[in-house]
Amino acid sequence: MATKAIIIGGSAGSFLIVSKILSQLPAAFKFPVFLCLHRLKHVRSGFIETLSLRSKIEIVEPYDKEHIRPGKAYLAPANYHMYMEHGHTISLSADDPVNHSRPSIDLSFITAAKTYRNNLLGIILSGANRDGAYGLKKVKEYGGLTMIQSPDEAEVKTMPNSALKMTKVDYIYDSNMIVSFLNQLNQQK
Amino acid sequence: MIEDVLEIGVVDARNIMKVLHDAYGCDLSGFMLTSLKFRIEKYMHNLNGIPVDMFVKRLLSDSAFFESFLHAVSIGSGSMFQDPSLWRYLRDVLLPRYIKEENSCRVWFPRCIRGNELFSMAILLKENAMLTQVSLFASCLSEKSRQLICSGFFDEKSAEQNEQNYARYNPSGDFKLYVQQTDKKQIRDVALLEQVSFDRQAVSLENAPGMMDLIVFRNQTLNYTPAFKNLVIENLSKHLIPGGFLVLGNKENLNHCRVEKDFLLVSDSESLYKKK
Repeated sequence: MATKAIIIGGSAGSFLIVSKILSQLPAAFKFPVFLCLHRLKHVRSGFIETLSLRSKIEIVEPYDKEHIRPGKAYLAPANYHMYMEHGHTISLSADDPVNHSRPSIDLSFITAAKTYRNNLLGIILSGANRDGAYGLKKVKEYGGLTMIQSPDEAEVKTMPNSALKMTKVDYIYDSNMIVSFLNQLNQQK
Repeated sequence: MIEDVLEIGVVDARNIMKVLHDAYGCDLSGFMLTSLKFRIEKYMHNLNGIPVDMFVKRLLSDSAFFESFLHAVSIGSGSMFQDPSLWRYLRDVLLPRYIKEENSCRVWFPRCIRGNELFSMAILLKENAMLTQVSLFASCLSEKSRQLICSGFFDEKSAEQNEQNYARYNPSGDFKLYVQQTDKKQIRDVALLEQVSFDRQAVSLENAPGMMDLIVFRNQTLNYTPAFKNLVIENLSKHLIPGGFLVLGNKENLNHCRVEKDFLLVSDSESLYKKK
């Protein structure tokens, strides 16, 4: 398989890890990165600006039906689900929350898994609920690579542990190893 | 749990859509399949995982079931007073200015499912003594949606969110004035809707209840394919007077729509457009 896209899900305790990952990816990163992070519903600004402070790749909150470009990070907007569609577009949805979450990590992962199949790397980071566990399972079922942040490092272990319970994940890495893995992927031809 | 929801195939989803079209003239082919399929699956899950063939039979034989299904697969635009900054803008700037200049205002909600925005607007008008100058029109895809709205149905799952949004919209107001507590549940004050004109609209919204000054159509085009979005927005534009306003959800825009050139973007953050 050849990775063509990366999707990262996280909740409580994941913000600093995401920020660290983005800050250590090169500006010429080859893949689109989808970020589905739980966040406050009513706060529309500030999150992306803070993430962008240290990131070398561009981070956007996509508009509906926005085309997916490599080397760009797409952050699920507050209060919207984010789906990856065939035809390299992102669609948003105001569907009801899933397991109290909107954006739902599960839904983002499932749609990305169906679209990118064995060309996807799914990563679950720190978080306080089990959202994303089923989504990561679907990534594996469709042939993609699966990774979780090491529960030993995760500030809140519930999310990576839930993913681990549901799926035999390919990698259990701490944040330094995640960054190193992504940079190695980027150097592969 | 999402993992308990049984997946149906794309062919099954298309068959269900064909049945809706052939039996009821309801054309959902302009909806994004990913999210529509998920909503169908969720609905079937809530019926104890009814098999597709039985589901189709029931759709064909039971029009009330069809109405319930149509209501369930329609997506609301959000909770009450969602994005309070938009509602403050409508209250403090747009509506007073419009009423001052035109002396009246016709506002259309083309796709009401739970009525959250309709009730929000009615509360806004009542609190600001604008009910007599503003005419409200509400359209539903399903009769079930209209019945629920008019019953004062209150989605208790979003009750807390509604109240929080309202507090951000109007910190000195009292949301409880608009919600009645009965023995077992809360219902919204349906007296707020006394002046609202309801009608039923097809998916493509071809027939508006007249020319409008303001159309509130938030988070609905997210459900549509680009081609269908184009068609619906064109239909809405036909029923908006020059100088009238169109409000979309804050992640929707008119980019690449055929009528884009006919509109000015008034507020990017609120996706508020003015027809030239």
